[in-house]
Amino acid sequence: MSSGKLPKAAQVDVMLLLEGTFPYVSGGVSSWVNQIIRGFPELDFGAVFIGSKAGEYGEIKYELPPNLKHLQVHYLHDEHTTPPVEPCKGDKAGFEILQRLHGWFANPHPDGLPAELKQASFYLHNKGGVDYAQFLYADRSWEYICSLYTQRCKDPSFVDYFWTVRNMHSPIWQLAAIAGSLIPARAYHTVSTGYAGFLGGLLHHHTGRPLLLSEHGIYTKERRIDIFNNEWIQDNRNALQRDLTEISYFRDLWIRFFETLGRFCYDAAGQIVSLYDGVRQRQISDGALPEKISVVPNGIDVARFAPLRSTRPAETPKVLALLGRVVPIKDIKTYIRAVRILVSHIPDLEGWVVGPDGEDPEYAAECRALAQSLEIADRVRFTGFMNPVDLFPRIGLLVLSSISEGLPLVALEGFAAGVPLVSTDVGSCRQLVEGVGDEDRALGVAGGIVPINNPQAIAGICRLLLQDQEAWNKASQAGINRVETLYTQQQMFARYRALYQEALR
Amino acid sequence: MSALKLLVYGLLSEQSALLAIFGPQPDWQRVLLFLTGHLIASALFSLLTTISFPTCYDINRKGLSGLFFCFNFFVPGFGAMGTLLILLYFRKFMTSGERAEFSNVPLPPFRSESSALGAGMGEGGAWSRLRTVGLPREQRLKALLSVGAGGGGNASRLLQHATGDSDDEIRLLAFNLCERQEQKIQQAISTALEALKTADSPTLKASVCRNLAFSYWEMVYSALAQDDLRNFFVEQAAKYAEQSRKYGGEDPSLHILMTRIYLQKRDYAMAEAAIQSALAAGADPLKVVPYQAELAFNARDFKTVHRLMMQDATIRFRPCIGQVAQFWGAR
Repeated sequence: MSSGKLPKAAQVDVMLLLEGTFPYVSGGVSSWVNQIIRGFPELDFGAVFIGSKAGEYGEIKYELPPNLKHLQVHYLHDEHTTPPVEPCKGDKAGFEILQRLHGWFANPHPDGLPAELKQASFYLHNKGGVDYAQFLYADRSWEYICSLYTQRCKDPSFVDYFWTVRNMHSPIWQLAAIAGSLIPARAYHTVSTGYAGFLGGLLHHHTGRPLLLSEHGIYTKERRIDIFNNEWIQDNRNALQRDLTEISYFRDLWIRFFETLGRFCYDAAGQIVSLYDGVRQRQISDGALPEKISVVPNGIDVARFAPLRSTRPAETPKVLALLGRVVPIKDIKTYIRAVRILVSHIPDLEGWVVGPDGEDPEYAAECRALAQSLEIADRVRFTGFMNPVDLFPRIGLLVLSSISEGLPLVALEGFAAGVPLVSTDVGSCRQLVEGVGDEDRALGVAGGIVPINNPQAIAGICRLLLQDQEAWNKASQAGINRVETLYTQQQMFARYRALYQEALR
Repeated sequence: MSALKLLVYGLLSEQSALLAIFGPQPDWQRVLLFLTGHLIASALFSLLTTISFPTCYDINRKGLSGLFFCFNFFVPGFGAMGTLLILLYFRKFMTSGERAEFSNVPLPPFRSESSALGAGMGEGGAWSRLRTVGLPREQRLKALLSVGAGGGGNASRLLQHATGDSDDEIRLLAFNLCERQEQKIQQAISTALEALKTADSPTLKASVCRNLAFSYWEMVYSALAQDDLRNFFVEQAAKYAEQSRKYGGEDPSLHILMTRIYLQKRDYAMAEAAIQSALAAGADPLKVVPYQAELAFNARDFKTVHRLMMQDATIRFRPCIGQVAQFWGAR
């Protein structure tokens, strides 16, 4: 579907707030959103997609569910319509509130943000608030940025400080504008903190309707890692000023910014859903109240995949498959290195990378070059997207070499089709493979768990399972038992039905 | 069109434009001729400077070309000189981001233990802090960043250890630091493999194979690969070093590299032969001493180890090997 034909409605039951996922990006979270919308046909859904730049996303990747009645798309770094330049002094009261906000950044207290800042109207009006024009052009804004630079900034470059502050904060005014103009909804549901979560918080305070947060990974943590490794964030300190054990001031500023957005969302959300206990613990340490959090694992339509078990060949195919987007977080390179090691022991082995490679073409090219330099270009196949139903009978093992995961749906789908999983110890993968609690563990071990960035360990477990049919059979059965017992779509929908009923009352 | 041709045509066009000013034609014709010649010269100069601009900068080439054209066209003469100076500056002085050929891996900045946590820490300090799971995350992150700022085998081993940490943030940061180290070498390998496909002379092939041998070895030396993968890289380094020799690329460094490869493979007879080849090719004897000593040590010939370590007084003050020499000298 092209972006010109987006569905529009006057109001919806649940408004989903989606940052960089459904329907423009394929992947686990997007599939989950699609699944949730389709799982509740009696509800009218709306969705706000928040992206960075239009050019970074192609066409819509999913057939939109019939009950998705409204979809609007915003690109935070594209539709930057700055107001005309007009000198102004700036609203005194508004800037005093902003100063209190920065005081709160430095010393967050349990009462949360100043009440005025929770309202979208604060960012939209120039009396009693600070609108976008004032943020950009007011004398008070300039003076305030200068004073913060003098008091706090450890980096010598004022120019970088000024533009960092501008670029960092501009999306807040855009999100406030979205919140001020969005169609009514009975409840808001965000699948991450960050910008989408901040929008959710604003909408909650603006309309009084409840906000539900389902966090698959930890947004703040992932941003933090991105920021640590971004080359574009400058550090202008010279060799004498720089401390190698400290991150640069601007990196720290960005991290604190996203942490604040996260806290704002946790504060506004009435219910917070984690996929597994590890996420719950992290949310608590990041400021979420434990009584708001419930754990609802993902679930899949087992009946769709169960028939595939009987179509598998008698002998396990010597084919590994990594199902996922070709992006750094999936650490495809470690997988390719593991294939290199395995090919030395199982010469007819193949490693497939099944997933779109358009999201990060540079990384995809690096992966192909790596396969060449390891002399296994003919053993590693980049197949692009494949229907899992066609794929699972043709592979021996599913491999996830990711450095970060939530609760991967592909692992559950593989289990349902009888394919064991070899995964890195991230997210809930250990829980999926080995089980958690006595009852779950008694179901068996559905593959293997290895540390991240360890191709030798991946190769070791894959070799064991591929060369020992009995071990493979046991792992396959354990996966089937686990998914049928604990991770069905019906179980997940039942939990979300209760959450939606509570929110829509 | 080659850069030289562009330069020649550009100069000729500019010269024609300048000559046109002093021609016998009416004013408007002279202006027209000057503008035409100058326009062509400006376009050629801007094309020349754009294609010669270092490719490591991820910038809009059309925009760059437009900018150079504006300089050339609107500031006749001086604009062209200015763009050439800009080009020279970027080509000569702004290449620090490019990867130098591997000869040795720089040592981590803090090799000795320090009691002051804030000012940095030695490898021992970083190890102990990273291993202490109970320490606050911020302190452990500091340790990790300190290690990540350096390089070499010890740093890689420590980063590798940290990728198994129970704290998500620690292990993700460690992974990224590790990946960053590996990525640079991997890129060099990929570039060299591509270059090898198109290399058409034995000299060029020898040079590319030499680069490949050193890059694969750097993976091993920097401990960026373990077990089977390390063995694969050792074999690749040996293969390309041998190919480089086959194409005539003999030099002392290559023979020393082969010595190290054979030592890694525990093929001591070949290592000895490679040492002799290195010396015959003019290698600095002091650079070969550590490997001769290692061979003697493996043969349990400790007297020879002692003699080698004592043969030159300066060896005691060389980085890394100095401490080994002092130990053997103390016997």
